[in-house]
Formats: sequence, C-alpha cells, structure tokens
Amino acid sequence: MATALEPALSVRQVLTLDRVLAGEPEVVAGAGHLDRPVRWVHVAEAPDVGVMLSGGEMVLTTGVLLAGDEHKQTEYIRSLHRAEAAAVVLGLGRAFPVPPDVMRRAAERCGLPMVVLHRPFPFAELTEEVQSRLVRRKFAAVSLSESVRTALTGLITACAPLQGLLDEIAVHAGCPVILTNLAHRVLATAGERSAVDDVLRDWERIARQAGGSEGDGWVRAELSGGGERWGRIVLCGYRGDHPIGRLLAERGAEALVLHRMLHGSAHSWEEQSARGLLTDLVSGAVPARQLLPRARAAGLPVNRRTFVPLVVRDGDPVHLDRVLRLLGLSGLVAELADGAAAVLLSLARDQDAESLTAHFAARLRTEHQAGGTVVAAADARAAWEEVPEGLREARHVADAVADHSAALDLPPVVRLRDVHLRGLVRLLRDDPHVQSFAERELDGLLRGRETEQELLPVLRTYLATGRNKSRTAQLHHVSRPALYRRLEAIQACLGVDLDDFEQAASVHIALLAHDAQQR
Amino acid sequence: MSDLYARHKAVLPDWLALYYKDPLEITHGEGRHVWGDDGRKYLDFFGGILTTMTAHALPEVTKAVTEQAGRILHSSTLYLNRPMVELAERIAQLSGIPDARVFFTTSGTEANDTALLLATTYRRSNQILAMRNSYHGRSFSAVGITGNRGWSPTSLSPLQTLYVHGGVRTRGPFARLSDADFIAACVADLKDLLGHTRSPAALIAEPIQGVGGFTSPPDGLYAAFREVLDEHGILWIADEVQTGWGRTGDNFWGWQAHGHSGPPDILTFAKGIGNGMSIGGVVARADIMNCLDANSISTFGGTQITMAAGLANLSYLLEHDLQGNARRVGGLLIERLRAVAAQLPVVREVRGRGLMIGIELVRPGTDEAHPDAAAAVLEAARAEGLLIGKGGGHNTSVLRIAPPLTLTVSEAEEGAAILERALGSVH
Ligand SMILES: Cc1ncc(COP(=O)(O)O)c(C=O)c1O
Repeated sequence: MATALEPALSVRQVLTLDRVLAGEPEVVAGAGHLDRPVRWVHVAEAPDVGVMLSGGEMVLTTGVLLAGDEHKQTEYIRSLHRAEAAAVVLGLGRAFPVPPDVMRRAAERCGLPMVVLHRPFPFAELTEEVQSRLVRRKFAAVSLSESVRTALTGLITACAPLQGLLDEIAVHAGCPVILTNLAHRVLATAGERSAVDDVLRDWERIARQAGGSEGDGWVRAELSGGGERWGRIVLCGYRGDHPIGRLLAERGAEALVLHRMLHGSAHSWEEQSARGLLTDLVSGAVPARQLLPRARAAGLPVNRRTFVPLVVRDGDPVHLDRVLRLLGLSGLVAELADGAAAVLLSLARDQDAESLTAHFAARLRTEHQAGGTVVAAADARAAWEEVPEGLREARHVADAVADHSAALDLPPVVRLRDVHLRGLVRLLRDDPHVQSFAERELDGLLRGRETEQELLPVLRTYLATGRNKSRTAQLHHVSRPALYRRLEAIQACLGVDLDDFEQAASVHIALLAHDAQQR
Repeated sequence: MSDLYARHKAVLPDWLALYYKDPLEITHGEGRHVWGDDGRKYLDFFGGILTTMTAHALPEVTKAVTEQAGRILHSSTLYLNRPMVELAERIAQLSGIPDARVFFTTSGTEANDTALLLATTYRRSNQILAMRNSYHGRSFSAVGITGNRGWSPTSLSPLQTLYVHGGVRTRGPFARLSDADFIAACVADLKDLLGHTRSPAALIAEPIQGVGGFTSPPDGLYAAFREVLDEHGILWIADEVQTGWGRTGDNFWGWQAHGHSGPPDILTFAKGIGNGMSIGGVVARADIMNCLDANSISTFGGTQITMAAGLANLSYLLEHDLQGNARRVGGLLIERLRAVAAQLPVVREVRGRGLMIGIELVRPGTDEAHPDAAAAVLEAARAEGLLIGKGGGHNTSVLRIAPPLTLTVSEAEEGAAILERALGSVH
C-alpha cells in the first residue's frame, strides 16, 4: 500500500524539467538507472552527506569540499551509494570545471546515476521546482484516492451490482478494467466497448504475458480475503503515472473484496459472467461472432473445437460445473432464466461428442440416485455461429420433456428425435387455434371442480405411458380398481372414450398443448 | 542395443522382464518425477511397482537414512533395536489387529512365507485357500499359492492350495450377477468346497489384486467369507503388500472394505512402507505369532537403516494425510480416465480406487485380451514422458496406474491427458 501512496518522479523525469534542461545536464555515469524514483531533492556539500540521507534522494553539489582529494571524491560517491541515494548532480564551475573522472568511474562502478550541469544555476530553483511537483503529486494521489474510495464505498452501500463498481473504476482509470479469477478467466469487464474487445481478443496471450511486466500501463492488484487469493483486477493500458495506476487498482481491489464479502461469492461472479454470455447466445440479440472474444476470455477454448449444447432441467450449475471439472471437460455452465441450466461443452475435434455427452449424463445420474436427471442435447456444432441455434434446440428438447421424465422412462440423453409430438406441440403452442383447441377438448376437466382438476395428472400419466393402466396405477400409488374409477370419471367429464384411438389421441394432443402453455 | 542393456542380458536371468523395447535406466528422481539416462524427465505413475509410496528423494526419508547410516547400518535382531521397536509399535497400532505382534522381513514374499508358516503351524494343516488371479510372491511356497500362470514357474509346493471364486468382479461365471448375488454365489462356492476337503489352515487374499490387474470383489466379500471361515476356525490372511498404507484412498488397509466381520488374523505388508528400502513384515495376533516352537530369524529383517526410512516415511504419510490425498486426487484421476475411456472401444473397464487404478484393454468389440495394445500404450505414454505399469491374469491385459501418494491435481491432470493421447493412438 505504501508504494502506491509514494508519489515520485524518476531521475529521468527530473532531467526533462525545463528548469533543469536550461542547465544543460549530461549523464556521465549510471545511465542505466535513470528510472529510479526521486523522493526528495537535497543540497549538500558536506563530504559525509551519506549519514543525512534516508534513500531515494537526488543530491545536488558543487563539490567545493571535494576538489583536489581523489580519495574523498571516491568515498563521497560510495557513501551516497550506501545511503541509496537516487542520483548525484554536480554543478560544474570553480571546483570542477570539467566532469571529474575519479567520481565518474566510482559512480559507474556502483551504478549511481551521476549528472553534471554544464550551465549551473542556483540549486534553490531546482529544489523548489522538484519539491513542489512532488508535493502536488502527493496531494493529487491522496485526493484521487479519497474520491475513488468515496465513490466506490457509496456504490457498495447502495448495493450496486458488481458491474457498477467496475464501471466506476474504469471511469477513473480511463482504460479497460478487467476482473479475472486466478485461472485468468474473465469474470467481468468495464470500459469502452471497442477497447475492451481489443483486449479480450488476444486475452489468453496477454493475460499470461502481462504477469511480469507492468511497464506498458498494465496494472494489476490481487483480490484476497480470509487469507486466500481468489482473483485479480487488471487496468489494461493505464496511461497515467504508474503509482497512481497502482493506487487506483488497489482501491478498486479493496472495494471488490468488500463487495464480495457483503454480496456473495467469487463463484457467483463466475456464474454471472457465464450466464450473461449463454443468455446472450440463446437470445440471439447479439450475433454469435461478436460474443467470441467474451467466450474465449471466459476460458472456453474456441479454436478448432466442436461445441455440444446441452440443457439440464433443474440442474444446479455449481454441481454441473463440478462434474465437468471432474471429467476434465471444458465447458460453460449457467442457469437460464427458467430454472434450466445450460451447458456448452467445447471438445477437441478428435473427441467423441456423443459418447462424452452420454458419459456426462450417466455420471450425473450416478450422483443423483433418486432423480433420473435428463440431459437434453442438441447435435454437436462444428461452427461457433451455429451454437445459438444449438442451445435453443437443446432448450426446446428440455422443455418438451419437462415434468414427464418419470412417465416417459427417458434415456439419460434426449435429443430432438426423441421428443416426437411433444416437440411439435411446443413449437405450435402460441398459435391461437391450438390454444382454443386445447381449451375445447379439456373443457370438462379444466373448468370442473377441484376433484375433477385432480384428475388431470392421472390423465397425463395414462396417456404418456401409452395408456398403460398398471404403470399409471403404480406411478400414482393407487390400486387398479381406484384407477379404473378415475378413468371412468375422466371419460365422463370429457365425454370421450379413451379406448378409441382417435379420441384418445385428440385428448393427448390437447393436453400436451395445454401443458406447453404452462411453461 | 545400449551397452548396459547388453550387459544386463549377458549377466542377468532371462526371466527378469524389462519394460520397453528400448529399456530405460532411471538415474534419479524427485517428487513424482524421475529422470532417465536418455536425459528425459518422466512423470512416474508406477513408483517402481507401488514402492515409492510418498515421493522420490523425499527429504525427510533421505535425512533419516543419512543420519542412521552415519551411526550404524545394522546390528541384527540379536540386540535391542530402537527404530525397529518404534516402527513395530506404530504398525501394530495401525493394523487394527488386537494384541498384535510384528515381525519384519526384507520382502513381501518372505512376509507371506512367514504368514503361511504361522498359519499352517497354528492350524496343523497344509491346505491353503487362495484366490484365482492372485500373486503372493516368488519363493517356492509363495508361488504355490499364486493363482496366476504367468508368475508360476513351478507347480511343486509344500502346500495344497484350493482356489476360491471372487477376486475378479467383472469376469468369470458370476460376473453378470448383482454385487449381493455375486457375494452370495462366492460364499456358496466356498461352503461347498469346505464340505469336500480337510480343514484348511487359512484363506489368503489381496483385497485388490495387484499383479492380477487391480481386480477386486465387491466390498464386503471377505467379510462374508470370514463368517464362514470362523465356523471352521480357518484364519484370514490379508496380503496388503500393494493395498496398504492408504493407497486405496477410502481405507488405510484394503481389508477395511471388508471389515464388518472384524480384522484379519494375519496381515502382511511390504513395498511402500520403506519408500524403496527393503522392508516387509507380518502382523498377527500374539497367540498366532507365538505358536512357533523353534527359533526363527531374518538376518536383515528390521535392520536399522531400513527401519529409519520406514519411520520417516510413515510419519510423513500420516502427517500429510496422504490417504486423503489418494482419495481426492485418485478420485479425480479415475473420473478423468473414465471420461477418456467412454470414447474408446479398446478400453473394457477403468477400475480401482484411490491411487490404484487399472485400465483393462480388449480387442474392440470383444472381451479378448489385447496385450499388443497394452504394450503400445506403455510405449506411447513413455514417449510423452509418463511411466505406467501393466499386468493382468490370464486372458487379460491391464494398464496399472499407481503414482506416489503425494500426487498433485495438476500432475494427475497432466498424466490423464498423456494417457488420453496414448490410448487414442492404439486400436
Ligand atoms: C500382493 C503381493 N504380495 C506379495 C508380493 C511379493 O513381494 P516382493 O516382491 O517384495 O517379494 C507382491 C509383489 O509384487 C505383491 O504384489
């Protein structure tokens, strides 16, 4: 934290100040260390100046007390070096008309930048100039720090969503801001859309590369809490001074940690990002191609892959994600709006989509001994552009078999070809003709008294099992005579004979259409 | 042919099999990795036949061995031996056997020999019940109870061995039964057998068969056997040479998967406990251990240098809950391998538990063993920097995976990825 608050100019920056340039500075030693920060400027002629320094100072001298004694000159440089001075500036003049070789060599040896001023000017002008800049920076940093903190705290207490916080940080940073987990998966982004997309396009490479250097305005801060690191925030190409960038990143990180503590877990952030992406894919609101950078950044491999869209009714995303990881399958998991979880698998081209899907589904069933989890699958898609349609297909299949899995005795993986009539009816469910047909056919039961409405599930099972009376009785836990009485009642209400194939078929279609309305 | 390979062939027996067309000399190791004379680094998923139990060059073990070597290597059991007593105390306590005595040997074979000597003497019978597809060692008597043609160089034996059903779940006449029916059928077979014979001394069984290809019965079979054996006073010997020390993840000893009728009467161990130092041993109830009426000694058994290694290794294992690690990381590894296998008709079954995992290979579409495929996968894995083992009884070919128990998740993932490619390259 201290580093972020420490405002500093580098030696190089000091040398480019107008006032200094007028003095015709020349770097005669330690040219490789000009990026050292200058914390303060100090005028000192005493040969034992070293003891007065605390590190990071730029020491200005005319060398009057050193002239003529080569031993003292060397010792002077060494003591500055020991005190970790940032640089030494020597005004040429009476004491030293030309750069003293002994001092230059000593400075070179210990890597201390040594600058001579060919046209010396009163040192007071330089100290004043540098000092006031340093102070201004310090104030700027402190006030920035305060204003960012105030803004972010305000957002947190107002329960603003994560995105709100990131947007605020991006406003202050003026560059894309990216939140990732430790695996470099992007959880959320903020900043100007096109700039963000530029960063995401090449994310895999950039994310790993930027780890080491912070030179090009990549500023990162770790997110940690409870002794555990769980993510980082990255300012991508911050153009201001590095310490200010650090400060921003750290303030941002603090706020995000606080936000997580108050409003949920990092896991839910990952889920949110996957959900946003999958929802956008399904809805078709954004062309798939444009979502590719986001998918890649979310950690989904997309180059030369086969995509398998799946939907699991009542699937718990956390659990599905765990099983994927266990099996070593790459994929995104998120809950769609209506309680179904979407899973988008990304497989290498030589992996067998069908058997892996079957294995995944079978694995889910072994975990849920009780319920027969059904995985609705679309055929594998070789092109990313076909993924949205595939997801919609899987969702359609899942919806079509919803609530009927027990009666239908479904296999672990269901596909479009397994949903038959149910699929067709679902597609037609918004047609007013179909709706009024359903109402008409089922009128006797739907408008009946409560006891009659309770007959509806029996009818549903009876038809779904292919009019299998013993299975229906079993599934409803009633005796066969009791079932017969209910079937009689149903036939009476509807005025149909369910043993007649066409009449039964008509009621069945009506019931499917009715059920399709409910979801 | 490399020079060393030529010298090996010229001076060592022909029946000492070597892995790989171009055999490998391992020069050193660290953690879960070893380095070959070819200059390459290998991820080690076989641990020198399940013997590098914690890690290669584990500093704790190296330190204990070095310090002990600086003091004394060996004194024999004629003198009091502190490290031996300490290790015996710890093993007795861990064994689950009441009033346990421990005798140290230098190999698994010798441990089993001792168990057989004890059981036959105690019971005054030379009949032994053993499992088909078993392996218990290479000595004259151990070979006699090994139910694996490939490892039986002779049929001469001081013992009369009767083989029982049940060591292999997914092959044989009972394979198609449910777990409960499988156990019932094996128990019925055992009862029937006992009706025909004089009373045997003991039943010896590996809870998970090692050399046989990591095959096992359903949990509880040996507990059901034990109830029958108890009626006749027949002893139960658990050969834990491969399954002990938490390798199976769920249990510290393999017998614990069959523990509901109590612990075995005799337990034998070896391999992993010394992390490469030769330690074997027998644990038995005192009345059984003490039934011998003559002197018996193993000169090298319990020698200080090996006991020091065993103590350090066991402490590391317990302090770092490597059994838990085997359960977690092994659980992940087996899931990965099952997902890989789901796509490959050459894989008949992925089985095992913890860090003891077998992959049985067959000619696609059949149940026939496919030794060529097993050899090819072994080579392909090596080419990618992974060492695994193989095994399997008659008519089976099985890849064996048994890494050091400190295996990390990322090493498991790396190994699984290599195996995926290696398995995908054969048909
Ligand atoms: C189950 C079992 N018992 C006994 C032995 C024999 O042990 P050793 O080779 O140390 O004599 C082995 C060795 O592979 C084994 O796997």
